[in-house]
Amino acid sequence: MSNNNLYKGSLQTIILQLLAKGDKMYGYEITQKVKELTKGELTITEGALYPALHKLEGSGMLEVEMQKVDNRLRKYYKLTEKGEKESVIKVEELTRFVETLQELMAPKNPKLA
Amino acid sequence: MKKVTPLQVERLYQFTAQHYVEYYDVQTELVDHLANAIEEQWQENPDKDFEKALYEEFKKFGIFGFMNVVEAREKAMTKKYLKLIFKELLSFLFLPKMIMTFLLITVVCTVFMQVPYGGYVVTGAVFLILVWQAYLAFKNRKARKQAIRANQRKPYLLEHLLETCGASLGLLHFLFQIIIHLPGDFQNFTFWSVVGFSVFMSFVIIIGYVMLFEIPRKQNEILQQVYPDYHLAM
Repeated sequence: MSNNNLYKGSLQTIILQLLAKGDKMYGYEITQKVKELTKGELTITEGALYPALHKLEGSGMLEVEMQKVDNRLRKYYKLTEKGEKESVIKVEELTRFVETLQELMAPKNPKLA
Repeated sequence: MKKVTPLQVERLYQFTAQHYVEYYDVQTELVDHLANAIEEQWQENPDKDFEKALYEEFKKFGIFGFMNVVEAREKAMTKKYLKLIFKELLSFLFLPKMIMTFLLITVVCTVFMQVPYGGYVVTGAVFLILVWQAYLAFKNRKARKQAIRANQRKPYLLEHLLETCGASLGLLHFLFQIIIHLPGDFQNFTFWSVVGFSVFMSFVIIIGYVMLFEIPRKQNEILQQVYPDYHLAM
C-alpha cells in the first residue's frame, strides 16, 4: 500500500486490538500479524511500531513479560486492565471515524450530500 | 530453519550500541526484532550473509535509525519516573507523613518571618539542597558509567533515571528561574505570600527528598516490576 501513513493515527488502536484478540505478542510478531491479516496491504514500519508500543507501556495500557527464546531475550506485550478498557473505546472511536469517512466519500443519499 | 547464533546475538547488541542505543532494555528489544527479521530472510535465502541481512533490516528503521525508538522509550520511562515521584509526593499529603510536611512548612515559614533576611535564607538553603542533589546525581552517573564500562552492570534506562535523579537538573533550573524573577525585596511580601512561598519551597525540599531517598530505597522493587528480566542482569 503506497499510502501507509493513513494508518498512523490508528496505530495504537491497531496494536490494542491485536493484543485484545490474542494473549501476548512481541514487536516483530505484531508487524507480521498485521501483514498477514491485511494480506500485505498494510505494513507497520519498525520506526513507528516501537515508539507506539513504548508510549502505550508508559501510559499503563500494556505490561511486559520477558522470555528467553532461541539464545535471546524476547519482550512480550500484553494488555493491562486499563488497556482492555481503552481498546474497546478506541475501536469504537475508529469505527465511528471510518463510518463518517465512508459517508463523506460515498454518501448513502447523494442527493442530500 | 536457520537461526541466529549466540555470537551473532552478541554482534546485534554491539550493532545497536554502535547506533546510539545506550540502554540494555532498548537494545534487547531491538536485538530480538533484528534477529527475527534476519531469520525470516534466511527462510527465503539460507545462504544470505548475516551482515548484509542486518543492514537491510536496519534500513527499514528509516533515516533516523533507532533514534525514534530510543526517544520514545526515554519519554515513556521519564513519564513513569515522574509518576513515581508524584505518587510518593502524594503520600506527604496524608497521615502519617502529613505531619512532616506540616512541620517543614512551619519551620520554613518561621525562618522566613523571624530570621533577618529570612526569604533569602530559605531560598539559599533550598538552592544549596538542590545543588547537593545535582552533585549526588552527577556522582552516581559517574559511578554507573564506570560499572557499565567494567561490564559489572547492564545499563537500564529507568535505573539510570532513578539513580541520577532524572529530573533533578530540571528542578534546579526551575528554581533558578524563580529566584531570578523574585521581587528584590522580600519585605513587601504579605502574610499569605509568605505562606504560599513557604509551602512551595517545602514541596521543592520534599521532591528532592523523594528523589534522593524514598525512590532509591524502593529501587529494586520498582525495577523488577518494570523489567521482568532485571534479576537476570544484576
